Amino acid sequence: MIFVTVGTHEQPFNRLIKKIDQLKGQNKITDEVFIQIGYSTYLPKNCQYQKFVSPAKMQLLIKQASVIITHGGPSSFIEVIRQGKTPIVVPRQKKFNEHVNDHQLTFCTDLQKRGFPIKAVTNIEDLDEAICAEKDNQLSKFHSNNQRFNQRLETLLRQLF
Amino acid sequence: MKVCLVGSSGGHLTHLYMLKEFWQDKEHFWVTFPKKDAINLLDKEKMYSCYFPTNRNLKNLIKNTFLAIKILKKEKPDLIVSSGAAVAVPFFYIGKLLRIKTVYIEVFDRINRATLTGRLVYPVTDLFIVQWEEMKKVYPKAKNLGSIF
Repeated sequence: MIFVTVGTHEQPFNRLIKKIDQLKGQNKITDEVFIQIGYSTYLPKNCQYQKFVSPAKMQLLIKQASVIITHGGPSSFIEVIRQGKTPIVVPRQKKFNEHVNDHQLTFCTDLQKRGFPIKAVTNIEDLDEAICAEKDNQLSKFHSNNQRFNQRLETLLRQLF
Repeated sequence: MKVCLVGSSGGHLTHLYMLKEFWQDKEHFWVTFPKKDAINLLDKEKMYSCYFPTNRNLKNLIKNTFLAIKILKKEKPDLIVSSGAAVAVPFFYIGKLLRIKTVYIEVFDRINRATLTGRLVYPVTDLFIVQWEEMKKVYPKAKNLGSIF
């Protein structure tokens, strides 16, 4: 199963959903596909979809999927990395009216350069190839900094009061 | 200590929710968009709804300014925490007038460039946190705590 998520941003991400739907329609994708479409206005014809899924269902879909494709919001793709998988990340772009600026594009390419376990796809025509390559998913290790972040925040706050 | 956690729903709300270890044992309340993901995530939490969309939207900025006055005067928090986006702006400025301490966490998705909200609240923020060392060039008074994830 392939799972696609575009998060909760208010602009549509039709470019990604349409491409996946086409690949499925042309049988270039043979797996089942489930897409969380968010505020997108293009409705898939060949894939299962839902506007939003609960956090629990999201975790389950990520666990079950052999390939996970997300938009460039870190809350979407870090959950995939946390589960030891490498997400294919397609950044939203301003020129397609998918976001207010291009920060997803610069951020995702920067992260990839720094060795972060993501596969950034900036040209939608490369998606097909990225999906095929991702079938032999290598497991990634993720060390959460969350506890340390919270402890340091608590210490800094003590100095404020 | 009473904490006001304010921000957009979606990824910004995820950032604030990841501070759970910090807020769970303190009196706290949330201000966010009444969207499905926020309502789901915060179903056992005290939550106020603010107006959206806020991306470059002046009308909702004004509405959220009046909301900030109402909520902050009623709840009287000691601390306001946000990671954006635009709804943070009226809460931080009204908070400053009411002498409430503020903490802003710039989002993980910026490595070396400010967000619009970050730039706007930086002058009135008591503790400004970034997640990448490079961001200290953008915000000199910031503290880098590394990734929130």
